Amino acid sequence: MSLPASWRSGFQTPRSFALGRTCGAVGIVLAVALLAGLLPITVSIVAVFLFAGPHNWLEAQYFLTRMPARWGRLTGYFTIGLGGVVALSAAFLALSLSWSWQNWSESGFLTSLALWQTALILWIAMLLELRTRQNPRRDWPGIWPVAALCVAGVWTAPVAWSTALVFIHPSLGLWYLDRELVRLKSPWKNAYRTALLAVPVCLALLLTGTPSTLGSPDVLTQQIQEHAGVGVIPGIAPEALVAAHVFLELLHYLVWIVAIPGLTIQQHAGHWPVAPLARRSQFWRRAILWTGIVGGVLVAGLWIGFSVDYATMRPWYFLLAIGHVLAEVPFLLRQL
Amino acid sequence: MDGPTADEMWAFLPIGYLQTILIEFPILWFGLSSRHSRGTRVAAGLWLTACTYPVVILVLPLTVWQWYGYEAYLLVAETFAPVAEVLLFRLLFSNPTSSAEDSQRDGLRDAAVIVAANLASFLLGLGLQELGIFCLDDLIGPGGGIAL
Repeated sequence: MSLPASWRSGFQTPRSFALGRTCGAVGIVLAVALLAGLLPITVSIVAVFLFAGPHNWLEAQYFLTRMPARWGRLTGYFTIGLGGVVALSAAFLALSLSWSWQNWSESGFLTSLALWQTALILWIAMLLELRTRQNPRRDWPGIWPVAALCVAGVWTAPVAWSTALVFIHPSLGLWYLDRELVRLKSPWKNAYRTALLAVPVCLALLLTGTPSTLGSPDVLTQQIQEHAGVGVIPGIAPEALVAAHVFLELLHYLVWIVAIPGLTIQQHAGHWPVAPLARRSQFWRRAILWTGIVGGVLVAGLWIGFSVDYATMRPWYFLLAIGHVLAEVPFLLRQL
Repeated sequence: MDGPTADEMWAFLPIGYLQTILIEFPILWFGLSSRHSRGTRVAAGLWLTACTYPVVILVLPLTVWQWYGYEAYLLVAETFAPVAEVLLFRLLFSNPTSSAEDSQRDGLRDAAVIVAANLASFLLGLGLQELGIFCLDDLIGPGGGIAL
């Protein structure tokens, strides 16, 4: 028996395409959650090994394409934005090395951590304030009261705030993708937003339903668990925390390695988008080319490092990766 | 180590904020120069304290009070709050269209009113505390007080 003509054509209507996209997007989120829940530690090790370097490289490429050729009225914004990335990254690196190598008292450690986090919050608040004065103008009266509350939170629980940042950072990638879908008027926007609704549900399931493993963890597992907030967040099994973090981290990698490059290449008719800075002069063209080459070499170096001694390389990577975490802030705020 | 704990201060934050704006709001409403609209006066009454109060009530007790004692905390908090509020007010509510002379005169008046509002909330807050209103003594214990 053949299907009625109206049914057959129904598979090709915009509504059926939309349903297909929604099912696809939700299916990807569920599949990632399942993978993270079943093998949290293994997936964490493999995902960081494979995707940590390339996603940094692709993020850097993306930021270059979003940077205007001439800053003009945005000079103050980009100076504070990029200056903050460099200064805060350097301070974080110096503090982290000092905490490792010198004998800090607990109060000294907590105070220095709170000071760094206060600087981070004030930097973000300043960028938000500057953003309100750019086109399209924004009216965000809550910036400074919220910043003050965050600073108060930092001083009352600095370690908890560090763990919060570990979980907030992967979510920034999801926000970026949403802004790109809006900017490019992509038909995937609604499907993606529906899939986003599945993220908190998956997180709740992972945090409550991930099975605990028996036995004492090895050094690498302990490292991964500490990174995911074990010892800071009470009442949740270590495996569950790792699974939740891996789930967000995998989504983050998917956004930066698959979704955003795919969208932007589609927008540029199959060609890699050219950074506006490259049109500025020969010097900038070469600088961007060399940035790409050096970035590629660093990605390869990271893979070699992970292959030689994964347990040593992993904390070093997360220490140096603070730069890309911070760089996401000014570029994201420009898109709001 | 001296001073209240973080949990105590978080619990006190909303009560103290309401108490502070109850005192400061009328002073700012009637005192700010006439160039400011009603909306600006309302915003100043609620918003300025929201920007500085978490720092005064949480960050400074956990740092200055614990390390240098209550008197040092009072000095720092009661300097920080008016200075920060004057700067924030100038940053966000200054009127670039008015003449330089008017602007300077009104700016001085606004700054004086903000300082006066902070001083009033500080003194009235201490007075209320002495009278045992808002049960602050239960929160802080004898011998200490919270500058509002």
